[in-house]
Amino acid sequence: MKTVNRKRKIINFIMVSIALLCAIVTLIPLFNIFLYLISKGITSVNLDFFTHLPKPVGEAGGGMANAITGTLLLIALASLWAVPIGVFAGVYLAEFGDYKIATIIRFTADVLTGVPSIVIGVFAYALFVLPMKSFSVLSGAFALGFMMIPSIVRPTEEMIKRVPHTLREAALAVGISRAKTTIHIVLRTAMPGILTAVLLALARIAGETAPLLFTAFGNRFWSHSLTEPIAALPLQIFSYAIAPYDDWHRQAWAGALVLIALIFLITLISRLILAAKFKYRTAY
Amino acid sequence: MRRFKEFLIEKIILLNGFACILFVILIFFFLAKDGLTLFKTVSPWHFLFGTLWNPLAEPPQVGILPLFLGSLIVTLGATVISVPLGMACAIFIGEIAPRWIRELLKAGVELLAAIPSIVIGFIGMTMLGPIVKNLFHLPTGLTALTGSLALAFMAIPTIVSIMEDAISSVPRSYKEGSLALGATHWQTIHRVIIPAASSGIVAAVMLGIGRVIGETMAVMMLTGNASVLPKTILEPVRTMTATIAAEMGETVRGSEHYFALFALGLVLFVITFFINLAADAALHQKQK
Repeated sequence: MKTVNRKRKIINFIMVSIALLCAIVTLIPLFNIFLYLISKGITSVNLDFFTHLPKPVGEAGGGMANAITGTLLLIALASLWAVPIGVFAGVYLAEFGDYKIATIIRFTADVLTGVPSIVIGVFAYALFVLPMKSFSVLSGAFALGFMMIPSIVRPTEEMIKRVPHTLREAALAVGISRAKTTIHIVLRTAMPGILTAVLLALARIAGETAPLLFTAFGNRFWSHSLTEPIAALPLQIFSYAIAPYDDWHRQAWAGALVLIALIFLITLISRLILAAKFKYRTAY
Repeated sequence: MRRFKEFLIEKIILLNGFACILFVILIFFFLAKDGLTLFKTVSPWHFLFGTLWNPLAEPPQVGILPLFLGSLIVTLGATVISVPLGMACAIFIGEIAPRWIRELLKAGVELLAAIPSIVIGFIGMTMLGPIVKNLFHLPTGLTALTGSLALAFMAIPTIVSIMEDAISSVPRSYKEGSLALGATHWQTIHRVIIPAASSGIVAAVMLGIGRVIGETMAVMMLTGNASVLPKTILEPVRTMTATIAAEMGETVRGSEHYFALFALGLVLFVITFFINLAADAALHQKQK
């Protein structure tokens, strides 16, 4: 009896230790990556990097000013069309959808999340680039938007479902119509949560490269219209990373560091919004 | 007028609700329209089971078997590495770790998930490649194994966060009941919690695989891109995603090469569709 007891206690100890070990093994590379990235990138991040265009091959220096603006412009345009669609789709699922249709929509949203980013790129290429006969800012923004929508729809639905039912009933009871209740009461109450979802979707697409390869395409200069190819940070990092020049590698590290910093900043803001919301919630 | 406005708002919401369905159909339609044109000149058998991918040859060879096997070997490698590690991590975070460590690890995993694949690929090129090369005395460090390692790293956050959700949603009373009967912590995890969370765990694995198979940039930078039939995991391979990414920009519209790349995209779409279907089915089983 005693030996059985000891045996299972030993097994317990071993297995729990293994789980701990695995957690450490997984997290060490993470910190390793950050240290590596910072040590490689920090020396090349300077004012020139943010204000200058890339220099031609062979000339040292230059920056990624156009790529940084390009990425910001692309994610702004992508949100411009994708956020309303994603949010309203979430509203539909939570407030209006009947069971069968809602199930289908949820499933397609999950499918859309799972579609490989390169396939989204091919789709946007066929849908926009070929008819317009040019790589363009617009096609890149559309490709990124397709990737944003599913990651907005489901969280929005969750957030709206959490709005207390009494709020809806109170609004309807004083004679406010259903559409108005949805927009002015329900959506407004769920707003911090939805904003968090939108920011996380933005963080997710800001580093996407594959959908931009043959839509935004990249550009070594400033783009002057929405129908021209445009530079983006991930694209620039890619083309510099696979090039054989040391100076370009340095720039790529700097670009990677700036890109990660941007993504973490967006994630951090979304966390702060959520934290502020919970503080507010506990207040009443 | 007011009635009309009401009507309009509700219809707009309805329309957006259907957007996801529309987009999935559109993606399928656009891929199928050009992808299926390929089969006017090439038999589906040759496309799916041809062992030569050389679309610039005369006549073009568009057998995707080497690419499919390339994707498969990288995905299998990544799955074998990431599932046990991810599961152990999820168990540790969800069951064993004290509260403050749990919050810390969850934030860490979230950050890990946010690292773009292009950055993982770049770090893999300079860090992982040389290690693999020296460890196995290979002529090049860019092999299927290198890709698998990097992809495992990208799949782990997905696996951990979904599994952890599944594990922490097991009712507390199960755990308490098991402990009250005298089971050790590990026995409780192994015999009670994991079986109770099994559908979520299966879904996590499926979605992790889905993420790995669709990965493009890191794979393109790390696997060496040789479109040959892979024999071992220590050889350069080329995946389906990397092929599209590398070749789409330089093909002529309407050529066999162009149609073949769309057909390849269609194959990828169908594969990820069924992986999602399986994950969905696993999750719905739980709800019953």
